[in-house]
Amino acid sequence: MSLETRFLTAFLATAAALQAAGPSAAQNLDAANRRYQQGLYAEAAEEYLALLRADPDSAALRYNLGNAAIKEGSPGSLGRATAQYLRAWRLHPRDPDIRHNLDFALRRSGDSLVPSGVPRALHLLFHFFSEKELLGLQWLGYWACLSLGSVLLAFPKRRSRLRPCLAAALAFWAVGLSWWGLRRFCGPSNLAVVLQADVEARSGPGDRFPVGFNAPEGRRASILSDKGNWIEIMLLKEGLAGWVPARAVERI
Amino acid sequence: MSSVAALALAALLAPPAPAARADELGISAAVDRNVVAVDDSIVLTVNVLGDQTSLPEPRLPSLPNFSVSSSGRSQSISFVNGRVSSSVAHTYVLAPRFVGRAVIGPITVSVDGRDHSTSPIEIQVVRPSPAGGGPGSQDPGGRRQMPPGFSGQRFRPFRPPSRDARQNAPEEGAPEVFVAAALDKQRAYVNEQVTLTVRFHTAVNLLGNPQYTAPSVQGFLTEDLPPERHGTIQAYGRTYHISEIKYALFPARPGRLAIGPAVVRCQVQTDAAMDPFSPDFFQQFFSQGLLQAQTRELKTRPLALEVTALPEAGKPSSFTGAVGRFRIAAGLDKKRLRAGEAVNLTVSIEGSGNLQALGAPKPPGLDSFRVYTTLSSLTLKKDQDVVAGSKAFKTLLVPRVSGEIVIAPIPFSYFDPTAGKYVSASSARIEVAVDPGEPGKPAPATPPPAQARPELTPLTEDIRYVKDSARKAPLSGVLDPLSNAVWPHLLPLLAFLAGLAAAFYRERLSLDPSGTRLRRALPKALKRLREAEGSVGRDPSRASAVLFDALAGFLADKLDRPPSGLTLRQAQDDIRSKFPGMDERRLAELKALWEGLERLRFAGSTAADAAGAGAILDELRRHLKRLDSEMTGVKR
Repeated sequence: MSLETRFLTAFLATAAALQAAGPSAAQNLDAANRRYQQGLYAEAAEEYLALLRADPDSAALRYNLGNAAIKEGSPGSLGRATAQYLRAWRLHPRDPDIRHNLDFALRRSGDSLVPSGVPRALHLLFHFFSEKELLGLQWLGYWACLSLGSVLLAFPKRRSRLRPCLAAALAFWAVGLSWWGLRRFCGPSNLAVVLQADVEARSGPGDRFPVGFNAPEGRRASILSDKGNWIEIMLLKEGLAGWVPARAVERI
Repeated sequence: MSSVAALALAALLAPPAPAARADELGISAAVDRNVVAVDDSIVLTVNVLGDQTSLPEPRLPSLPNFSVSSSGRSQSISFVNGRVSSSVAHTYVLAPRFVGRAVIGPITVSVDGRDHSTSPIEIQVVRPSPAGGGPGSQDPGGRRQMPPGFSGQRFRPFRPPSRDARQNAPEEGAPEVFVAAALDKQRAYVNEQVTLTVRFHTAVNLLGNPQYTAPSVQGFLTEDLPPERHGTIQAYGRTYHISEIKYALFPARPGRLAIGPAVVRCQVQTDAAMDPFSPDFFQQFFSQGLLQAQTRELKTRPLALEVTALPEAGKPSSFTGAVGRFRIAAGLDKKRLRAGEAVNLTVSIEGSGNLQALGAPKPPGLDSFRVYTTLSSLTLKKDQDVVAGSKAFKTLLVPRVSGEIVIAPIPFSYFDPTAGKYVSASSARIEVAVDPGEPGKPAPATPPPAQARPELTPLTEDIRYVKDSARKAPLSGVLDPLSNAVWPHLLPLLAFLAGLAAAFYRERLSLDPSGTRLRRALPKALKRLREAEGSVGRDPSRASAVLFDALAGFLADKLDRPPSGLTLRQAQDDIRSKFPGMDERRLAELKALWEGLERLRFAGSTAADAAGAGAILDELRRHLKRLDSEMTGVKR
């Protein structure tokens, strides 16, 4: 058998094997999007969830799942949609569709993506990169600094040419590390979203405690502590804190 | 910026306080009866209606024919279609002073400089009935004077009055004034209404109005039960005028709950005569006339209520804490609509109990609708000392599909304290016909702006469409592996540390150039021998020159001399002086090699020269190693 014949045979066998293995992720996504277009939002959501099990870090799938939830319109759908949009935004914060839909969902609950008083452009800039991307950038700066430093030490005669490069690498590393640190440690920790409409937030973990306020569905909150079936949350916008049933919130 | 300028700026920038609009305000007044005995009283109720939670107080006209006392107020607020509707009922008790015709003039409420007034009300005051004012007496209007809960047995030290008792002289030790409080039950369930009655009794004239402090009712939700009632009873052989206030209490938790004492401070007229020759006679005369007063502070006994928790057995899954007796009804405001049109689902719960605390029942199976915010409105009635009324929950629905849609019966469970069991009720099923939407006209995905919560900006845009590709951002594809990796990040660190070590080593070498030359002499010479090895066969003359340089360089490094200009004699003399233990045979070998290399350098390149250079190279390698070893004392 000639070499060309062997190659063609191997190629065809591989293609057939791939075909027999089942539909690809892209085909499954198309099928789910067709369900969405037909108005079968619950079915579309199930299919997006199945795709997410294989690729949990996909911002696009989280975004689509949020769309299906918000279109579904059942009680708790706004909260579920906001949770998925938040996860998508964390993965890909500069995507304009994700930003728009997240802001849309937050405004339905009396909140907004950009805090009042903060310029929109500044908020977009600060959140231009995801936390993972910022971590990757600071590792890039780390590699550049140490590599250039090693070359400087190994070849002293090239110091004059390498010093400006090393200074730039150090500045890049410092900016990346600081930016990542600000995003990681200065933002709200243990983020959650309220799933139930007007859930009663009490002053203690139990029905016997008086209700302090009602938390609207879809509001972002920070989890302060938990006790059994109760969780203490603080609404990010108003700063109000109270205890709600654990099933009333979804952790991000 | 000065503080004054800052205040002025703040005042300019501060939003104006909300005010009731004149055209949204209404007032009405009514009495419970228009004919009253002179020893009885009527209840005047003034209702102020408006579209904000804070409504102005009504102004009563001059009422010289009546003694007027306020009996409290109750407020009802509802939010419908994003607008606030509020009504406040002010209750007054009017006791007539004279027999005859009396008129209650227009009652006014003002806003924005405009007055809203009620119509005058005519009252006919008649003489009291011959049977007198005793318990159970009836006025010409045929209504009982005394509150229905009065039995005379719970309010110790009351005794059931009798005709004989009215005719007896006052008993010894009978109090002039006292206050008593009682509950209509000693045991109740959580959230079951319990009525607390506080009665102030006086058999003497009082100077001024008594000051009343309500009892502490921690652990209860409280509703006033207006109006304040007045009347007379016979006890201890005396006639007491009574004022009675009632509260509806709803215990919030099980256990033994305490109700604190109610306090009344009053000025009792005494019989003590004023001394006209007293130094402060005129001060007392002009402050209180010819009457003497004594301050009395009266307290009720603390009360306790045993509150029982609601039973767990038989508790329906839809139970949300309602205690009382209720009915549920539900309906849509349209029977037929198009897909995408909005319809209001109103669920009403009517009955007696703590309606304030009722939560919205959850309609099951609204999958065919998009469900929006639920608004509630509350209407309370307090007839016969029972808190009752209705609470309505209005939810906006938008059908997602066309056809005949059925909303299943909405369950609502409550605990009936009288029967001691849970009752499950439900509304009737609701059917609605949804026609397909107009072709080419997409259904709105958002409710009309008027349905939005008051604090939100009306939304006119929809969410953006789904993505048809799950590809990650290119930058993420490059940077994410960097952030996920751990061990590879040690590589540049190790390289940097190696570079630091090399720099440190170089620094050490630069501090000791002689020692460096000494240590590097042999490796440098052997490197040159390796260079010469390649050219021995081709160009013996050049190779021998390299070999000679290697030997001279080696000796110069070892003897710390410049390599150029070093002679054999100098080298031998230096070796003998610096290395006195050196074997003379090494020096002889050195001389032979030196002269042999010189010969080869300046001789022509022949085959024999090549062989000779090769032999010298090997010999030179061995000699250099031996020399180095003997010079440093280390065998190579």
